[in-house]
Amino acid sequence: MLHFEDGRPFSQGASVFSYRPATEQDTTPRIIVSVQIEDVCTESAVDTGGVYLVCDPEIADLLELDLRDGLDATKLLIRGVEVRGALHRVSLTLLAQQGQSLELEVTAFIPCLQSDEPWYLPPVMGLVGCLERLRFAVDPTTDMFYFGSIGGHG
Amino acid sequence: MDAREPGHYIEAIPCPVWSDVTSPGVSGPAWEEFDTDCTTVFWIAVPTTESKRMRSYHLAPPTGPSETSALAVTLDATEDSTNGLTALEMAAAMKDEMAFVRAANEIDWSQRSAADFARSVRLALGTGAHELARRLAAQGSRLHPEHPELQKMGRVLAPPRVVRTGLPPVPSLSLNHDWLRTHRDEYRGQWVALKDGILLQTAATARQLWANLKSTPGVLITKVN
Repeated sequence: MLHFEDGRPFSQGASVFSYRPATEQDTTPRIIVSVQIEDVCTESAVDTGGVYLVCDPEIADLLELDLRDGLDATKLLIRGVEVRGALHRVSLTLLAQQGQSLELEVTAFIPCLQSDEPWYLPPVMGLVGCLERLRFAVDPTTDMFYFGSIGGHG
Repeated sequence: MDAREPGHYIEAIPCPVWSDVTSPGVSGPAWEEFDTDCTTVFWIAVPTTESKRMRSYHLAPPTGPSETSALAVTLDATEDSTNGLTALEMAAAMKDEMAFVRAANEIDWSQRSAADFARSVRLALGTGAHELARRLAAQGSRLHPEHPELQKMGRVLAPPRVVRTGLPPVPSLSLNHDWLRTHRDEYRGQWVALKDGILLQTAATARQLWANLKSTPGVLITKVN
């Protein structure tokens, strides 16, 4: 794990990440890590320029979220396209290969698509509403993603 | 540039009325390159700072050829019967996040109704002002604890928080990564279920995959791209 000079831990967990395009249409590689959203283990891209946890609608379908708990009719600009959906509070666990896994409560955007509307993106963790209260670091020489709590719960 | 030079404050605002009009030959508000065939009009707006309660845009005449004469639009929070909400609505309609945040900062939120907060949070979200939406939701839910929608907004938009630390690691994560790297081309476009680097199921949809799994804990499901 990573530590500050005074010995305090910078991170509590680390996991290997894939460095590859997030979709078939992309050519730019992304950092993709293993996560658990509610009870579903899946992969998620890291996008520090994004907001919220943008959830793949097919994954969201498995989460059995109570629609009454969400803020519906919200629009989010994703890759230049305005997407309609709802905001929910969900559990997101960063899965560690080494050290400790970390469970967060984050804001997730669940796209609401028309029946014939395709979706190409995996779940994407943005900064605002998702990763903003964590320390994280990337080691491109070992493809390791380090993460840690900034101290205390909440 | 001297910070007090008028040009420092000048911003180009596309006229909302004609915001869908294309402007062939013009790539930006560079007036010296203004094409006489162009139908888009850029207003040069100079925000004044005489009063913190007054947002006034004196519209300077465009320096390029245009049939539009100089117009003055004043957004005055003191005269606005909705006490500033109109300015928010206008900024939201123009998808102008900066103007929206400026207008919101001029409103005294301590006296606003629950409906005003709820409306403003939705406008902020629609404008992309996510931090402001969170702030308004938090303040609104504090001031109006009886209002269910504001309570929900406060809860959903609250900053992320760590719920549990010290959860056990999953040492086999890299085995799933290895499998995906090796078999990506074979399974592209399909949903796959993996555990400890072993393929358990494939399906066309996540729902089908999930339904076919005998047990789901510790199983990674993902669409192969």
